[in-house]
Amino acid sequence: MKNFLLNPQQTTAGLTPTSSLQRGVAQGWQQQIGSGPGSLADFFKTASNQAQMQGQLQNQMIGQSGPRFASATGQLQSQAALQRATDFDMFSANLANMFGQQQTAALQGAGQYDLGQQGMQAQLMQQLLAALLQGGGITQDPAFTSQPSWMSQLAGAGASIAAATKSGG
Amino acid sequence: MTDTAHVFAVPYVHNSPEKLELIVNACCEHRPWFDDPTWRDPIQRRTATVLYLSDAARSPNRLWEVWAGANLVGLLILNKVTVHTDAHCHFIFFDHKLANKRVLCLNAMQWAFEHLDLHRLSVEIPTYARALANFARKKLGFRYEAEARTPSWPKDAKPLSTLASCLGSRRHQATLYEGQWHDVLLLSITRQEFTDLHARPTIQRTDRPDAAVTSGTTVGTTDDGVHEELPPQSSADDSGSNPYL
Repeated sequence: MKNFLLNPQQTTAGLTPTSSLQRGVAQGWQQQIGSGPGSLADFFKTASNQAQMQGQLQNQMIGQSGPRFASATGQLQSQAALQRATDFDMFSANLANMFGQQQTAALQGAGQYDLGQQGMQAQLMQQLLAALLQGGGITQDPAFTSQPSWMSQLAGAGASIAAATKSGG
Repeated sequence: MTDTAHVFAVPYVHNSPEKLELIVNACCEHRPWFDDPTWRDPIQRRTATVLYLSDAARSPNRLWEVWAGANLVGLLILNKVTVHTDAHCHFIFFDHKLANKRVLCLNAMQWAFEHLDLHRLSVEIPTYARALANFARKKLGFRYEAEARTPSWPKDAKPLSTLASCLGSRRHQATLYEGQWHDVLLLSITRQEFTDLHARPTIQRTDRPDAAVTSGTTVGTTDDGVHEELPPQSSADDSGSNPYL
């Protein structure tokens, strides 16, 4: 709003009028400030072109190809969609090992979770392991649950029997 | 979401940008798991998180989604795998609830021992993550590297107490968290220790309400040196008031 009051032509010049009211306002401003070369309107036109180009550039950067003056919500959704796609693509690229290990390690810092060369080693070893185990479950899709495993259930049952035997005897 | 929701883990499948976004957002909002310089910059944080997760997912069954009913509540990660020997476990729970994840973690550990033919599993926990360290030790059976274990060398060395091993089993100032350098605790569990522990009824006993993860020091009265704290010794440096236990 502050910019509009200080420089209304610059603020509104990049807009594509979408209503008769907007067109009326724009025409009013044009009449107020003239339209010849070197006039205030010319100055504003140059400035507004720059602003428009900047806006287009911003739109390209955030992947927004629609109307320039979308709602803020729409812009946020667009940014989120771009972020989502970027994350997914980056994940996919790294899965395909397109990122260097050193680059990955550098981005992740030298904290407690650094990977070093282990990622690559693990991948190679995985192949070895799969060959060694010959389908012993590596390629299956297991699922963990919060239910006690059969082993622990067996152990629990055994303990109960032992306790019952002990107390009974 | 209630604590009674069925908790389960499934291998991550890279097929949905929306699901990945959910996971990455949750990771980025979770407590810092990278050093300050990476964590403080939102772009670096996100990039590092994506790369870290995708690195884990390069091999099948290394990155697991944890769900409680219809809610994504965490991740299980296995990395730094040395075949037939060792792997590093990472347990990340976005709902900050550890108590209802114990059996899930044990089942995951058992799966890792069996399917990766590991001799041991390791975890590294920064000293500021006390609750997680307690959970790993008291609920899952991890020990400090030197805790109550006979070293392979020197031959005449005796196992260390919990306190001594707590002080010795760490990487010194290995992570920068909120402007301070913190040590990282080194814990592990061997396959034999896990089997012995898993076969004991005491592993069920730790579900008692008075043995909550965030509770204070629990001094064991049994011969179980894994789930319970070792009895304090008489030496001066083994006082029972150590805040790290």
